[in-house]
Amino acid sequence: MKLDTKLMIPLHNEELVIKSVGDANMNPRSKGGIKLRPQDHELNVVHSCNGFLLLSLPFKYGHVVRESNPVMVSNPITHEYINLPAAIKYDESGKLMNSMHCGLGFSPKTNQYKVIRTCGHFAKKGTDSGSVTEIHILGTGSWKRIGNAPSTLLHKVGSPTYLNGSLHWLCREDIISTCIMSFDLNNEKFQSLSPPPFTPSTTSSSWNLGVTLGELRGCLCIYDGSGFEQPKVWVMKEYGVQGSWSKEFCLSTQTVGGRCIYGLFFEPISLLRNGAILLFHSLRGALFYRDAKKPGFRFLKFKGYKSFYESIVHIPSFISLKDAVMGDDIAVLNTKSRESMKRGRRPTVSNTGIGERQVDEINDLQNQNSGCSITDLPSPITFDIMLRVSVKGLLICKCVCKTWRNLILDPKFATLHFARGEAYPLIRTLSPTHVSRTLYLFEDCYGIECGSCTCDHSDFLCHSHIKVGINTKLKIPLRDAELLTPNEGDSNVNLDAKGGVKRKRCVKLRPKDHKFNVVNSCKGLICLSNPLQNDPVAVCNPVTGEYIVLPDSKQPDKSTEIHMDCGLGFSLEANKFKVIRIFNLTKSEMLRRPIIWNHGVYGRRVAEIHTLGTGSWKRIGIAPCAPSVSNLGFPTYLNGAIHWLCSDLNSDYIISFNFDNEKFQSFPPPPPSDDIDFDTSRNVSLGVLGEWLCICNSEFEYLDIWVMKDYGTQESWSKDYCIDTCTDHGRWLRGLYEPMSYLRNGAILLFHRLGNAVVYYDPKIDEFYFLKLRGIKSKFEAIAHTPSFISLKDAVGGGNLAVLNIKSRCTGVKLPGETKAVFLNEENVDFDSDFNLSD
Amino acid sequence: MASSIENNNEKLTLKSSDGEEFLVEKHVALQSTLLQNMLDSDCSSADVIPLPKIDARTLALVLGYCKKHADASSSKQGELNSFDSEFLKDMDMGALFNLVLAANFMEIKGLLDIAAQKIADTIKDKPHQEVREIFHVENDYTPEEEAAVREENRWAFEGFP
Repeated sequence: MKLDTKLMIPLHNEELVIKSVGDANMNPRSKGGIKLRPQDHELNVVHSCNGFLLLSLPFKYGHVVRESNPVMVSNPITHEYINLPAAIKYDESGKLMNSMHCGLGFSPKTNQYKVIRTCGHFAKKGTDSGSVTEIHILGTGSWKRIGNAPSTLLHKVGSPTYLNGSLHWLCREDIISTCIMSFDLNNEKFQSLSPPPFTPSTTSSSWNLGVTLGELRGCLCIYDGSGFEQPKVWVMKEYGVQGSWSKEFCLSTQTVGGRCIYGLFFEPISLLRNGAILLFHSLRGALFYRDAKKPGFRFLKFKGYKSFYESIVHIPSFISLKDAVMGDDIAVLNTKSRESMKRGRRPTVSNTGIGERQVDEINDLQNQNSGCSITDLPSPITFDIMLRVSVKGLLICKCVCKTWRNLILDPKFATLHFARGEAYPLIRTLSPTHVSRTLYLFEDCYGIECGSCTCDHSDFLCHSHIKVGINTKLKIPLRDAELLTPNEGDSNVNLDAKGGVKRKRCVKLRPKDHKFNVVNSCKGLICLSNPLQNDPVAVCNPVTGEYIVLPDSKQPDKSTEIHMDCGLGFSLEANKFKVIRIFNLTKSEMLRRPIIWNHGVYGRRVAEIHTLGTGSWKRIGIAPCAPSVSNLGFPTYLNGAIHWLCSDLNSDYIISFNFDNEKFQSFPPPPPSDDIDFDTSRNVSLGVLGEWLCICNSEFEYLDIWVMKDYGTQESWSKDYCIDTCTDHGRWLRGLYEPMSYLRNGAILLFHRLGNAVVYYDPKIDEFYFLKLRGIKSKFEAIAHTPSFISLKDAVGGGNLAVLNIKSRCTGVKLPGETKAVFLNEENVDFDSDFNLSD
Repeated sequence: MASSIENNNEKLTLKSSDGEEFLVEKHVALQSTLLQNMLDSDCSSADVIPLPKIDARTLALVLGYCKKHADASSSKQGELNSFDSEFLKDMDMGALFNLVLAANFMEIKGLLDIAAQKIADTIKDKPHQEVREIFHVENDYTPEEEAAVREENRWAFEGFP
């Protein structure tokens, strides 16, 4: 709905504006509005009475605006307004008097409009503030003092309500008890009306903002939302009769979706002819509409202009102020003739997404622009907020301003960011014919449970629609950027120069030249290997875009296709990153010195170590090898060691390599039991969940997850989860599951390679979400990766280390499929077809 | 302090920066480490505890949060989680900033956490111009610098129009 009825109130200090407009008109370039300072020109709308608005100078106390000096009465429909005479500011003793309350009312007996104001000194509760009340009859030229104001009025809440020839304020006698003060405009006397029978004990803590006074259909009403459930509306059926208070409405603020709107900050607006009730929610800037017949309510937010909103009840009137005041010599000015020729850059409610035809009229007037800046927050808080921003968010924040960029690039920030980081699946397309250098970091995992779906219902009911985009794209380098630059690079550069030409075509690269294998991730860095031999050749931080090329090793002969094992790790003692590679000796070397492994098996595999930042590899001796299977699976870094799952003819076991003492070690697997049978099942994987080494074994319809609670102790292996991989739809999601992450909310992320899917499992509710990777038709692979903003340079600590940057090298090149969006989609039906696709 | 634990209905009055007073039950106030320390050290013999940095609007929200968490400490965590996410939903950025400041001042860790996280989540997936607009951050890059830094982080912008 649109709010189309725009009305205007005058500006304060208009002479100033008119003058400046005159000046501005001299300048031909000025158009599009004048900027006015709110403190000079903005008026506060106190309340409305019979279609007239009382406007006062805003008085800011903290940043809460309160009414103070009443200065104008205006009819926004006829555009008329009159200035009120200046009020006396000082009392007899010369002390400054602060105007505290004001109100506009109509005296039916004398047929006069009157403005009342009380003023005095701010004083403590209970003491006499010496406040006085003055009254001004519209059309006259002065204020008349009528005596003291009752002290209860000091503690009034909200603006006055005009009804039946009296003004009413909701007041607080002490913290608990309430009363209504009224001022009779006929006899110009204050009196007190009793409030509805609340139970104050439950309404204590948020009394002030939860209770508001208003008028509904000619009756005084009180909205009580101070409790946390079920706000109530009380109505005084018979004016002035205490016994006639009745609880008219009990509003359920529970939405259909199960949301419960906080009861505070509501103000009653109107009881419509069709019986619906309309309330305004001041904090959220929204209208609350409840139909009398249907259950539920509508919560209509103001959209279109970003601001706080305020609202008052107003009955539009075409009665001219001149007629209403009946003074011949009164100066009635017109808003139209004055400022409207030149529009100030005042917030206009454009396309506000709501409107009501039959409503008596809602006047919403923006008062304060929410000009709050994040830079106003103390820097430790900004720092804390920034630590929580996603990787993608931080990459973008670097472009917001220099301060943020410096903050994010600060090594201190990077260290803390990494320390509270979590592992996320880092996903890559796996295709033999394409060079894929894009890594998709799935970091929006927390959205899954609360339904980041595209449909409107944000609840569990629709989890078949879960669709999450993976927007955090990181890159690894191309293997041979030099090869690329002279050939394909040139044509790109030319087109890249901004000539309005559409961005260059995609470059097809041969995987043989440019592809890297992703081996493993350790402390934010990734080990990359040559896909033919799995020889480790580079280490990269995909978040910062830095990478280093590892020194060449002469061993073994590169022409042979010997498969290697490798991995990146970190020595906690030496505080250094190290890369290990394990390979077979060449035949000639074998002949010179045969090597026997301690189990008595003849081994010809040796290991070499490279410490990042140095220039060479160091041979450290023989490496364990299993006769049947040549390579070690699932390189997993934890606690200063790298672990592999190793399959033998008879059993599976874990081999670890400690980067501190540079020794291999066979690692205790979960205790043998009927549950885990490595022989028959090859669907076993190794990984880390949280701080623990874990093994996932999927067999038949169950997925067992074993975790090693006490690192290195065989007895501490425990089967923490046993997940039924048969879905409600009867699907059996067989195959290998790789552990990815144990999230802060207790959920587990796994990767299912056969189904190309990320699995989100919530153990608390035993809910299993199978989210397929979509967007690119390909097989995928995934590793667990904790993103880090720590510069590779700082991490390695080598002063003369050649750290290269992906960004400075082949950014201009676009590879096929790189701009495609990848997303996760929960699907139930077409699972079977994917087996064919992925093979 | 033993006596105060027995007397669960003991109440305190908190005063906001703009002079509004709030009567709260003591166990609710104890959600705030600041108030807890004040009560422990007994320096709050005065009837009214002034909170000069927090306005009434914010204080009401803070106390609403504290009340829910104080009363529900024994009940289900899940219920509190949904209360937390509902509590901040649709909240204006300015109100959120005030809430963060108040939670920081009153040392209410849980509230600080969820409010800071909420602000952080706002940044996610928005182009930098929009982030500037939402947070009223002044752009101090020259157009050339901005183009350079944008190019540097080019992949982060893929997917934005």
